[in-house]
Amino acid sequence: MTAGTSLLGYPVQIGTATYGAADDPVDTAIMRAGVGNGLLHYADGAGQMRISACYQSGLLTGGGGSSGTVESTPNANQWYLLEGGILGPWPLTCYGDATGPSDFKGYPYRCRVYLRGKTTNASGSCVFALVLCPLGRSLEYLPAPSGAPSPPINFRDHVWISSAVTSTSFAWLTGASRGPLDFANAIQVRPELAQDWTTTENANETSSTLRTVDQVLVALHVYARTSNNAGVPTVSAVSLEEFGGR
Amino acid sequence: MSANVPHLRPVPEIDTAIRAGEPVRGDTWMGLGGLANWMNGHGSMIVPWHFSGHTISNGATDTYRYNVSPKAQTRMRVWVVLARANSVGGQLEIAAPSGASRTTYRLSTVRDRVVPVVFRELVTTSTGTQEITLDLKASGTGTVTVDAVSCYEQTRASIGLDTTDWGVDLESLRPRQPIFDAANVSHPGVCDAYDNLDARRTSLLQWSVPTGDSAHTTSASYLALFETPLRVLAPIRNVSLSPMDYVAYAYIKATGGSVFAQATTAAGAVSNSTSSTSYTWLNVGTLSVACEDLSASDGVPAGSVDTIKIEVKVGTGTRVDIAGVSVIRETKPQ
Repeated sequence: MTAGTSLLGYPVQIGTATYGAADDPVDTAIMRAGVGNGLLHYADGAGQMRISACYQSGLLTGGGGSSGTVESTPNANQWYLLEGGILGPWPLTCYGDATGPSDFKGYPYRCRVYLRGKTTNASGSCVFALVLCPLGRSLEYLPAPSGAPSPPINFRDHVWISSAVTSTSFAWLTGASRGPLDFANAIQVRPELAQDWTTTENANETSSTLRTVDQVLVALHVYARTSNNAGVPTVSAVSLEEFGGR
Repeated sequence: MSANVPHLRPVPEIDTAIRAGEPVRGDTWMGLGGLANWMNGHGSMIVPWHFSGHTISNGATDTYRYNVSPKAQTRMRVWVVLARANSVGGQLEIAAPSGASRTTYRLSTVRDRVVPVVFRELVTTSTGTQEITLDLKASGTGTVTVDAVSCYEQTRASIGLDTTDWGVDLESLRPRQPIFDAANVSHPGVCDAYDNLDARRTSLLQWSVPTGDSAHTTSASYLALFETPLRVLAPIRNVSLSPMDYVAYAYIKATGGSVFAQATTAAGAVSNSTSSTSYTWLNVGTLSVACEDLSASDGVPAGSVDTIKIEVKVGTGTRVDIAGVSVIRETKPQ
């Protein structure tokens, strides 16, 4: 684990007066602690808040929904997509060209995730899943629909599974990513998958200026299952924030 | 002339590559120039996904409004909407900005079969905090329920060698190229790009509903808008993890008298009031948000994530209506 890629962990601002004149010698300290360290530092913080979604409290009138559920009569032990359960696509921020330390090559930024949920009846124990992947691929990565989650699988730290939920009150859920990294509140896409998921996308700049860019477009899929259809899985909040750790 | 924007982030080695008394290789400079182009050329998430749950009546056009601070380099916004038809044959028409010509999408009625709708909006470059708008119309058969909305700035394929985009011509940094002093090239070009860098995590929270379906109350005590305070962190700033400033806004109006909005993080609350009887973006105040700790596996400092709580109340009037919230970083570089 690293505290980021910069030397200092904080930026050092420089002014144009310190480098601006022609024929000035280039000061090593400015280049190293200022420009080099600063660029790396700001890039470490360039991850984006991708999902900051919460239903309303119900204390105010109007304004949309107060929770998201699966189908009203779900079959037991079957994965269902939740209402509002495809949050994407958006472009995953990625490290990875041929420069620099090898442990950053190809890795997307890690994503901090939180999910707040409940069951509507304690007799129906619910399990929730977050799957970060391109649209149309999420079913490939869900664990078996029933029974206990299987052991960690390589390449699966982009899937997060909650502990079983029997509470009928909303709470931030505990869980773990399904790969060997076993993150409690984070998911990580392997570089091999990011490469496999890269597509070419429209990035036109005007109606007549046609451009494309390569991107790793992903969506967070929110699934849930219940042990007994008396208990319907329900969510109130989901968040996903990229950050530059590795 | 323009500067290519790399898809993958360069991580140039500087610890051993930039030292007093030793020459700096052209490859190192190219890595730094490419890193500056990567940050200035990649768009930000100006509207992180937010839940809606609002249902649009058949034939009605509802407008979603967001208060954002875009990057100056942006030429395209990508709106992504997750919506369901409530009757077979339901359609969603989308326009951005509000009032522009609409594009029609056929929707599924089955919750497990919905597909997000992607709408691309070409924009002219602009800076400063501003309102952006999205029209959603339910057409075809029946009503449409909007489950969630988001918008991101599309990455540029290349950025200009000018003082808007601050691109760096990487060819001028190749090994054996001369060092010279001109805009957007060579070593001063990298320094200029650094001084004018925009690498912001622009939005921590955005929420909007059409004004016809505003959240409202007559309570004289603060009531929370959301079911729970949202979990957020600002980007790493320094080793002591001092908080970073974000500005909270509420799209709000009063029905007589004055109304208040309040935003709260672990560092404290800010609040402001308005007597406007028409909707206005009220600057609630500047929030201090805890910063990430990149030495932790989840980036959370001391095991505690910050939260943002949004509340409203009536002051002296009879009712407060709120139809939008934004928490944004307005100032560069981060």
